[in-house]
Amino acid sequence: MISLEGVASRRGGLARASLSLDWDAGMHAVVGGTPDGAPELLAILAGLERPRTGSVRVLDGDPHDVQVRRAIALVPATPALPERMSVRETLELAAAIRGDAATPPAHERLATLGVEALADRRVLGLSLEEARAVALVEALTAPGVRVILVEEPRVAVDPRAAVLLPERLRARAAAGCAVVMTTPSMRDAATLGDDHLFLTAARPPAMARMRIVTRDPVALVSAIAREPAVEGVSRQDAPRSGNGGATAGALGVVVARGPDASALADAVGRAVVASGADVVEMRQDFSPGARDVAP
Amino acid sequence: MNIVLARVPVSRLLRTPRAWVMIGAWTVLAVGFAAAARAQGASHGADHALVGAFGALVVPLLCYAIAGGALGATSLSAADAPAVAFGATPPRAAAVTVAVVVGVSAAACAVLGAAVAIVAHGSSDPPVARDAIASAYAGALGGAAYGSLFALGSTFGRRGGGRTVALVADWLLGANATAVAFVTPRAHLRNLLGGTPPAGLGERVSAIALVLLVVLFATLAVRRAR
Repeated sequence: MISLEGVASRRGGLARASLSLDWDAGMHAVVGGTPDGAPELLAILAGLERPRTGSVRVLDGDPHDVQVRRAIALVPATPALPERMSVRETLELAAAIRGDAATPPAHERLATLGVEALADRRVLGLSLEEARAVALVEALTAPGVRVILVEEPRVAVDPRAAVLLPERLRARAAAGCAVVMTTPSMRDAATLGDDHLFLTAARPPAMARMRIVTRDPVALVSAIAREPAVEGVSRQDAPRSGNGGATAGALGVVVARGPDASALADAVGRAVVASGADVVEMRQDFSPGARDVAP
Repeated sequence: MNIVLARVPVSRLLRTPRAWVMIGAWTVLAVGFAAAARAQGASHGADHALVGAFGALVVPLLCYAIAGGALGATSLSAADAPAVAFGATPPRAAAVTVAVVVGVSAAACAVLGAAVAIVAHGSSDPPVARDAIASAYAGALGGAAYGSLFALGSTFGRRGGGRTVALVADWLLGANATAVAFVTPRAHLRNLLGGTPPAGLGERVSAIALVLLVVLFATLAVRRAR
């Protein structure tokens, strides 16, 4: 449903990127904030900005085409709503522009996120959180919308709507929509997204770590450092036994880290075999304080 | 679809009290000047009121208030953002908004021009019906030109501050009868209302020039709003 090939934006955090991806229906989390180019990515997908390089296909068409644009709903951090209209008129206007003849009544649409009390309020008098809830309702309940783009779905959303939002987004994704969410929070991305795209500046320093207790730490560090899947490798002091004495003079701990847990495990396994190191224990590790050794 | 898109600027214009206060104030000023001219018994009362207060002051400021009301205190792109967010293309949304500003400005200035001609009518002025029609025609052309000029000005600056620059530029450049004034609505409107023509041009040329300015300014505004 969404395809990007070598895309870089004209400004912002994606200006030096070369972004390629292929997304089908489902929940797609983009990890990154404003400095990483998340708003530019959404604007490009929504057809509001043209990329500096590369090609963008949304719903098998150009996102600037009228028919494609009507099937895309963008909910930015600060949504643009007609400030002199009521919420009800706003939803009716949106349905008329999108050409959705079978749109449910405004009250019913607003009930989707539990904000039906906003129906007769003027947009001008809404808080940012309420305005975001109205924009989310519009995106979630427009029958013709097949791509929903949401900037930071857990931020600045009316509390009534925030409770229901993940479930409603998942329901739309299950119904065949592509839902793309940007968030700087790894936790939000993990809980909301079925898959994750890390924008360059937002890539986490370590996705996975492995801790290996070995009698040949020097040889193992050298072997691990040659593996391309490993982003860093470090060596710690040997662990002590329960009675306070050293367990063995040659024992040492090696910690390797990389962005992909499976690739990291494979790399460490190859390094153990290649180095012939005597490994006592090998497991995932989350303890801090490792001293990095450049690969 | 165009009528649907027009709901946004029209609702903004109809429901912004400040815009109505300004529009009302300029209307009262124009009619007040016309009534004063009639009260003084001026034989060319309509000419004086139309060329003076109406053409030079009220038409540009009335259109400025209409543009501000239809767009809000923001740029043309930002004013169209709600329609664009719901799937309208930016050029189409901009074209509809510009059309609303131009249409409402033309209609308001036509009605007000006719009213001023009737209220200020003097003994040496042309027959009142003919003068009212001619004033409405001139007011409509002038209003349309100013509406498109302020729509174009609104594409400059984050909050559309370019329309204030356009107002000042028209005021300064259109004040005299030199060739520079040819690019300003003010000079041509003054010519149509019976004032000094720019570069000695005839009224028909000024009418055509106003139409061309409307097309030029509106086209540039839509192109810049993409």
